Amino acid sequence: MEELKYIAIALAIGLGTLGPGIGLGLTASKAVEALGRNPEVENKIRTLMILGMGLIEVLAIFALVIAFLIAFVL
Amino acid sequence: MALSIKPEVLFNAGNFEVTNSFISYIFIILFTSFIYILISKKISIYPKSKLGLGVEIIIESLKKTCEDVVGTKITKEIFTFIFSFFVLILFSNLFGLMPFTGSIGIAHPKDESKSVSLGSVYVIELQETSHNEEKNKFEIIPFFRSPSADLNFTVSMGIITFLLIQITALKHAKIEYLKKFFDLRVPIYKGIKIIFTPIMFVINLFWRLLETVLELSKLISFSFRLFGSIFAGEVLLFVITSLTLGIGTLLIFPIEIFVSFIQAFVFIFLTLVFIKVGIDTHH
Repeated sequence: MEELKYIAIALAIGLGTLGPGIGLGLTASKAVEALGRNPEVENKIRTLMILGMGLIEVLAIFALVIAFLIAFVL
Repeated sequence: MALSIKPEVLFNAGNFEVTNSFISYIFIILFTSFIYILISKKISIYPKSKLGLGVEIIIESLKKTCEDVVGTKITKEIFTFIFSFFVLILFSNLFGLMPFTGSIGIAHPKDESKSVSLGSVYVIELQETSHNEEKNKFEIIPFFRSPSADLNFTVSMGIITFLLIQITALKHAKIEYLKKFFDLRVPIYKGIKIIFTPIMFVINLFWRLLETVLELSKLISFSFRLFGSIFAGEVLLFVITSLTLGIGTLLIFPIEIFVSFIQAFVFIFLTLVFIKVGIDTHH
């Protein structure tokens, strides 16, 4: 059972960061695109990008919390 | 330092367990109060000291962000809350990066069955009892721990913020806001036959249920975002330190300071956005 626990931790964090990684990449690329089109609203784009990234990041952090739970509590 | 999700209990005061994160929290409160009092003594129309000027810049920029999102009227009502939360969360995040946090504490015998401790423990002996080989059998209960790395702190922050969002939205949108969750009337459109009314009712019911769940999930995401990122940062620092003997830590530290600022900012910015969304319910 001990070996399976390590596999579970690795799978939880590995698969859990897959989706948010793609999402963060898309967010950043679209933000840079928007910045290229109209550079005068840089501040607004930056705040919105950070907000979006904050929302996406939670998903990865949920996976991380699950990994911690398996590692330290179970 | 041993890694654990629960904060360690230092001593009991009656039925109340005094944990190390609670003690750190009291230190942070005292420190921020001290700074506030120091600044408010010297306040003037034209700032003279560098500290006053710096604080004024931070307050002005946060106030501008606040006004951009929710408008001038609501900013006047909630800005005190927003600013004090920003400072409190920022200081609790940065407290975890202090050199004494998590490293100085009481040594006690290690529980071999569930130990995940890396690195070594240096025990200062008050009594000449233990031999040199036995020092590895100890682990440390630290005196200080970052409050943000304790789930109790972040959940209470989340609950207070959640209440603020609900109350502000109720105050300004009034009955329109409650309609978002409890409005079960079925809209009647032209061209849709009356037979479909029960189906429309079920769909409507399900929609309102989803809105409620969405509202409650804000509470969870608020508290777990803060807890997850700060606790992960501490674990990362711990593992990197034990792997690279402190050289890699120099690279991770600036990232952690950056993350502390970003998380404090994201917390208050999301509060503002959710308030804005709650007020603008016109359906």
